[in-house]
Amino acid sequence: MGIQFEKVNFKYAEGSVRENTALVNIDLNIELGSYIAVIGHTGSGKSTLIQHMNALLQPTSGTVHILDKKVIGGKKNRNINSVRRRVGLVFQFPEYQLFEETVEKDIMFGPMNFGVSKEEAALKAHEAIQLVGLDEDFLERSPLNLSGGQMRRVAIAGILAMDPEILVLDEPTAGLDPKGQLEMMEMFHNLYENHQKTIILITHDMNDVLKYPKRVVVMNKGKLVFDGGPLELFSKRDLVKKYQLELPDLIKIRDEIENKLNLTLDKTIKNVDELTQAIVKVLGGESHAR
Amino acid sequence: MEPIIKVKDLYFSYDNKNLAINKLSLEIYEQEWVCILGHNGSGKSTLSKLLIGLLVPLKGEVVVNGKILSEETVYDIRKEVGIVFQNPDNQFVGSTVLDDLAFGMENQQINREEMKKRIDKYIKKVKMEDYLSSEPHMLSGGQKQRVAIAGALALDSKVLIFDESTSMLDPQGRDDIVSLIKDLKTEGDKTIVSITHDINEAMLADRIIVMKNGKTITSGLPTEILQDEALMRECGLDVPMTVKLSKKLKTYEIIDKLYVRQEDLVNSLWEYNLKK
Repeated sequence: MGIQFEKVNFKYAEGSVRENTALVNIDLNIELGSYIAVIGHTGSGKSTLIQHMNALLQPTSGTVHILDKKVIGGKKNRNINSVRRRVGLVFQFPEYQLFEETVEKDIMFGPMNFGVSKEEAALKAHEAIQLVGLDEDFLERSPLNLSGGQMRRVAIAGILAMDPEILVLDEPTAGLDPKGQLEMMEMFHNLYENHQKTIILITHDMNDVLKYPKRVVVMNKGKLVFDGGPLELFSKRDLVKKYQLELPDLIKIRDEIENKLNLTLDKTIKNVDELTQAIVKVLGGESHAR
Repeated sequence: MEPIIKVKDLYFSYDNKNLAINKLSLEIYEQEWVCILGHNGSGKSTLSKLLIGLLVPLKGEVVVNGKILSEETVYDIRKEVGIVFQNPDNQFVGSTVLDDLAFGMENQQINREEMKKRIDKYIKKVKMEDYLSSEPHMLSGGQKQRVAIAGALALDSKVLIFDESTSMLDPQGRDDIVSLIKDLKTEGDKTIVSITHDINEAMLADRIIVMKNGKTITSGLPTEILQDEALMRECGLDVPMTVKLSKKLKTYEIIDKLYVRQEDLVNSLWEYNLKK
C-alpha cells in the first residue's frame, strides 16, 4: 500500500480564535509506483496535504495510511517515525537547508539521523550524488559554493540517501532556469521509471503536468476537486478557469489553431510531434524530413 | 537620443576571484521595455543591484538619467529607479499595506497631502485598494508583488526594474503582474527593465538583452532572439513552444519560417489552409 487518505480533515490552530480549516474531507488513494501531480493556486491546501503524507502534520479527524502505518486523527500516534524516512519530503527551495562543511556530510546527515552507520551513510551518499546527476567529485566540496541548481540537487540527494520509497516534491523547479528545470524533471522521471520511486509532485507548471504524470489532482479551498488524467483535466475548460489553472502551451496553441482555422484537431496530443502530426493530418503537407 | 541607463565596462566580483560581472556594457532608452534574459548565475540579478547602487562595482561606470552613479548620487538615482524583487516576502517594512506605502515616501520627504494622493492613485492602479489596512503577510504572493509595484510607482521613478518578480508566483499571480507591466508600457511614461528566464514573459518586451557569464552576448527583437535555438540552448534557456512547432511544420513545408509569436504562427497556418 502507498498512501491513503480517508475522510481527512485538518484545522490549523484548532479551538483558538485563529482556527483555520485547511483540509476538508479528503479521500485520496496513491498507489506505490505511481507518478501524480498535485496542483491548485496559492493557499488551496496543497502544502498542507503533502505534509500529511509523512505525518509532519496529523489530521484533526480521519485517517492517513502511510505504507504500513496508520495515522489517526485526534489521537497520539506512536511509532510513525519510520515513515519520515520512507516518505522523503522535499520542501520548496530545499537548498536553504544545506549547512554542513562538505556535500558528503550534508547528504549523510539524513541517513545517520535514522540510525544508519557512518560507513553505510557514506556509501549512500556516493549512490545518491550519482542519482541526482552530479559527479562524485562534488562530495568533497562545500555545498555553499555551488550554483543554485547544483545546491538543489545536493539537497535532494540528502533525501534520496535515506532510500525513501516515496518522494514528495513541493515545486522542485521553482526559480531554476529552463535548462535546470528540464534536467530536474528528467531526473525525477528517471527515478520513477528506472528506480521504482513513487513521485508526488506539487507544481504550477502545466507543461510539466501534461508531460510527466499519469494522474493529477486539483486542490481548491482545502477540497480535492478533481482527480483524473492530465488530458481529461485540460479538456474541462470550466474547471481550468474556475480553479485559476492555466493551460499548457501546447494546448493553447492547438486551441488557437482550431479557432482561427475553424477545424478540429486531435484531442489527445501530449507533445510537439503529436501536435505536428495532427496538423499535417488535417492540412496535408510534404515531408522532406528523414 | 541619450540612453536613460548606460553601463560601460562594468566589473564586479563577490569573492575577488571570480567575476560575476565581466566587462558588461549596455544601453537602455527611455520608455523602452527591455528584458534581460539569462540562466541562473549569468549575473542578471547582480546587474540589477549594481544599477541601483546596492552593490559597488570593481571598475566601470553606471549612468542613470545623465548622472554617474557614485556615493554622492546614489540616493538621487534610487529616486529615478524603482525595483521589485523576486521574493515577495523580503520587501515589506510596514505593519499594514498603507504603512508600507507611506514608509517609502516618508523616506523621500514627500508631504502628507501628496502622499495621500499618490497612495490613492497607485493602490487603485494595482487593484489592491481593499487591502490598505491588511497586514502584508496575510496577502498572497501575487498581491504582495502588486503592493510592491504600487510602492515603486508611488516614488514616481522613471525606471522600474522587475528582478524575477514573477518567478515565485502561481499562474494567476504571474498573469496579474505581467498584465500590470503591459499596462505601464501602454501608458508609456516608464522605462521597464524585466529580468527573467521566463521565455513567455520575454516575448512581450520591445527588446531582449541576453546575458551569459557576466556579460551581454547579444541584443535584439524578441522575434529574432527567441527563435535562435542554438543561442538559447547555449545560454541555458529554451525556445518557445511556437518555435519548436514551427520547426517541425517547416519540414512538411506547411510554413516556411520559424515563428515566435503564437498569433503569427496561427495566421501563417490560416493562409496555408486558404491556399490549399
